[in-house]
Amino acid sequence: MYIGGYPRPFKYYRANTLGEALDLLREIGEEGKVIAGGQSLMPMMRLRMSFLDKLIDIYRINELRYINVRDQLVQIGALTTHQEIAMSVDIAKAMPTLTRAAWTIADLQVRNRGTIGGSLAHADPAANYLPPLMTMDAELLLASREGRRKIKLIDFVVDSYTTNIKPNELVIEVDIPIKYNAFGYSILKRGGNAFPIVIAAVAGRISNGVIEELRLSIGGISSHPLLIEMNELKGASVKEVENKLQSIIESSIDESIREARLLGDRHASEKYRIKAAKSYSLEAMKSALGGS
Amino acid sequence: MSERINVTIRVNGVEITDEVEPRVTLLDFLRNHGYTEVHRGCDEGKCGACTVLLDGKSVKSCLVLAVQADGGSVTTVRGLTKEGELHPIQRAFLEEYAMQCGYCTHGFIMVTYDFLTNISKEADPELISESIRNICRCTGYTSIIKAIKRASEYLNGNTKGSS
Repeated sequence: MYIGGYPRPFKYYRANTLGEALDLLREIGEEGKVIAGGQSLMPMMRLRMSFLDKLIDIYRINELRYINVRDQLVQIGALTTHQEIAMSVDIAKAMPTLTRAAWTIADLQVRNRGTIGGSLAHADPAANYLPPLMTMDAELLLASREGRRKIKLIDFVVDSYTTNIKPNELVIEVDIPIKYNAFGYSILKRGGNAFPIVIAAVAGRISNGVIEELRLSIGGISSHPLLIEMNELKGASVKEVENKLQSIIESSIDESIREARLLGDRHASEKYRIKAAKSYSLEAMKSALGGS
Repeated sequence: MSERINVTIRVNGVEITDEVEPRVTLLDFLRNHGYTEVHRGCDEGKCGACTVLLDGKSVKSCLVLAVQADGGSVTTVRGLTKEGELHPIQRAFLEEYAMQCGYCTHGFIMVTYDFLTNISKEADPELISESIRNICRCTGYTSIIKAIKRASEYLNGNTKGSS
């Protein structure tokens, strides 16, 4: 039997309900690892980048698979797949950047299997969802046998592949307030189903051509996605900022990366990523301002 | 020897039961039971050669554990053929000569099936490029895309195709 790409042996546990999952996490959360769709975890286990003794499979918990669109809030169950999010007409109407983020994840096979909760708990710095969700102030609902708590996504993600989740906790829902009317999304990735190099997302509120609020988030260039409040554009009209948009974006990015830990690899150096981030952010910003 | 788990998977309508280690992938489960039309490509979820349908949706069988597919229903290209008659997608791939070495063909056919059934009956070009990102190492993509379009015409009732 071919053995090269096999993970190390582990013990397998399956939870069929949320209650079972929380019981398992209470018992073996410390040494266990949760698997949902497994589209990130499986390659890491197979390439032996990630070792684990106990695997807790939560993929069959159907009660965590839903999309509820209310007046001011979109609630997405943690096990909703990327393809279900991509195909949701309600989400496309309320927050098109989330739809674009879902559509641009890898390929159909990965989107059929991968879940939003899994992606956020994995916290890959180049995850498609992070920038759009951060611009929209998304919150996560975490559950454990000790109770539930809500945490803002921006506080949940600490660093690359590192979050504030406790060993006995599970991400069960993503809550996204509906409060913006201008959106932009722009992504740079190589061919095949390569991870993105830069993801830029914009969300804002514009009324009668005047910018009330505008936020830019960039993923892929730093260990924690950047969230930039474009405060200097507040109160300005869309027309008067058009010409100075590029310089404002470039200086805001330069400012915000000063504190950041930058990413770079053989596919795209730090310098290249910053340059790309500036041009993709401008594109996303232009479509946000033009499309409202 | 680590623990083994009893797994039952229905493959092309036939129930297969086996005891497997939890770390065995669906890909190896299928190949070990004679479904060698499912090809091992990159073996790390990048190329899509090992794509099968799991409960009607395309997945890369190298990224799903056999224990996760327990109780599920898998379709390989053999399951598309009905009574010796090729499925319209297979016919389109053949007629457009959408293969060079043929190693990636199984994966392409299975993801095309899912795409044309569940995503875009009309084979919208933008959706194709966002959805079907399998790798053909011979780089024969032009014919493959033609075949996907021809298959969409067949499935929409145009039996002759436009070209």
